[in-house]
Amino acid sequence: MMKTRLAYLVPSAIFLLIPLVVTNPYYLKILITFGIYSLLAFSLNFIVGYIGEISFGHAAFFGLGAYFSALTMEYLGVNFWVSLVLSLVLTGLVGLFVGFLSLRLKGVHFAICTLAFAEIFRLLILNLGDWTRGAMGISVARPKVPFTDISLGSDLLFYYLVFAVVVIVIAFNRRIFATPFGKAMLAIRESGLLASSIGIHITRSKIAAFVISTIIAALAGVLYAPYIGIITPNMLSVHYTATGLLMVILGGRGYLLGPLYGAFVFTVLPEIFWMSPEMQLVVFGLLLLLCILFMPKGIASLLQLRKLGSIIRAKNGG
Amino acid sequence: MSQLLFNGLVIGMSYALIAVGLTIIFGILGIVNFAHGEFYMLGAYALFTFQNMIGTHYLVGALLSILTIAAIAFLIEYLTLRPLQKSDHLNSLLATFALSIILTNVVQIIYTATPRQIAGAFNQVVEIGGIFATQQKLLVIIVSALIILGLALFMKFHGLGKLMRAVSQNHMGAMVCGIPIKRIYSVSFVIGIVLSATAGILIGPTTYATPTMGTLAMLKGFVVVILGGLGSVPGAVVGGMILGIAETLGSSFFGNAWKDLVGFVLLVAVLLIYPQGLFGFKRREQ
Repeated sequence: MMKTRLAYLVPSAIFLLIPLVVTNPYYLKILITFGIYSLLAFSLNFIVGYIGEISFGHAAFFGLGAYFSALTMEYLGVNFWVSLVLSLVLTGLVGLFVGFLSLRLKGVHFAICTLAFAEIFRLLILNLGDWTRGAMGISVARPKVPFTDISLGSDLLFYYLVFAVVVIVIAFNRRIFATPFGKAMLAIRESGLLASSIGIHITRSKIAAFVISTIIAALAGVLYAPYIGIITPNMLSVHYTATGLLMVILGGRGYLLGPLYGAFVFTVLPEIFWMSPEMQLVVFGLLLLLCILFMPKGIASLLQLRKLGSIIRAKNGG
Repeated sequence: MSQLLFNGLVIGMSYALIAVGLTIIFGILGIVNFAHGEFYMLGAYALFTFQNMIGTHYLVGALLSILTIAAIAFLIEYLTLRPLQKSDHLNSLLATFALSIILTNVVQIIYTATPRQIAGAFNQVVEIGGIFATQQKLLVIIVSALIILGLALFMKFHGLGKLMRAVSQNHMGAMVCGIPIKRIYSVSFVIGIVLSATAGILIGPTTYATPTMGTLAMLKGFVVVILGGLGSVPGAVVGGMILGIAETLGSSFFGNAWKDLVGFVLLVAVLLIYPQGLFGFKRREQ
């Protein structure tokens, strides 16, 4: 138990103390981007790492989250925090719909189906300009701390908001594998046939994991909107899916903290070696290729971390 | 109306060419090539380069472009896909995905994002039975049809074509019979890529070339291939026609902005209702 506490406390302490060391406002911005991108990677890890399928349309839920939040604020007049909740619920429902339909398929068919859904949503937002302002995008203001007048306009406060969410998502990731649902999911990943033989409903568990994943993606999107200030249909494009996949595979699919390493490599390293955005993508493409060829389990496997399944097994003394 | 159908046919032919390449690569290597659209884009850019750097004629430039891209495709297959042949298919899928990111951005670094106009050699407008068409558009239809017909005959009667079909039907069986399966993979990948690049070379002069043009081409290729059945060559041809015509009709009914949506809705519908496609057969789990 002591060890588990430490596992939470040490990273949390690091997150809390970083702004004391990193005082350069530009670096703080990079850290916020790192936090939000890691949320996107965590959500994709649910599909790639736990369900074992590849979604090529995951950015759709990142973008839909941002749009649902912005649109409910605009048309229902609610504040940011209410819109956050509404957006998570709405995106979860869309995720349920997409997952319900597409998880009947496997492998390449699933990948193509998710891609098609993402393009459909992107084109809908782009073409329904009367409501969504199309390619012009919607500007989103920084929210205020609930029940106060303190704006989260300062990057420092926003940084703490983002990392509070990241820590919650990591804790959630850990906890879920102690529940029957989480164990069922691991059983499916290890062997679908065996899992169904002991009465685990495969499609239903996969859909549940898919919906959780879309909700986390929406969370990333809702936070990204006020941070970047403006959202466009581009948020639903293959570009962000590619970013997410890069981070998950580089970091280590199926590992608890894999997405965090992937997001770190993706956002923080380019700042050390300054490159143009195109050059960065070339380098990351090459890294991804080398990673698949020589280190398919990602950075986390290099650090000798245990996959989530084995944590559970160790806990149960098996 | 007939003008609309003709335009649909031109687009459909280029989709068919892209999709036939995609379907051959899937049928034989078992890989869904996510970088397929990027070779369509490379075809257009290679042509642009040969025309502007050396000043070749369209046809000479086309030939040189095809040779260059065939060489690139051979190298890519040898270096990235061959080592992954035995691992999980999702890994090859991700590898082609990485390739697509690399190719798009390398082209963007070299040529910038500015749209490039590609000079065609056949720009005169001709009228056939009330339909107006540039010669280039006629070229698209004629050359695509000839290539696809030639390929069908090649697969049916030529020794190598027969070997390719054997591998697509049963990898293990082909290997047991002593077919050099790695060489067949390599040849099939190059053929598939060249088809995609040819589509880019043919369509290039009728539009602009941008580094991101491959993404949409790839998406359209998927729609066609799923529509016709993954792995089926006739399916890809018929699927291409259907999509090309559905899109042009869709854009005249609902407006140009909704054109691309038609294909994706069609794709999802086919995937969910009839996933083996029009000409597909149920594949064994491999």
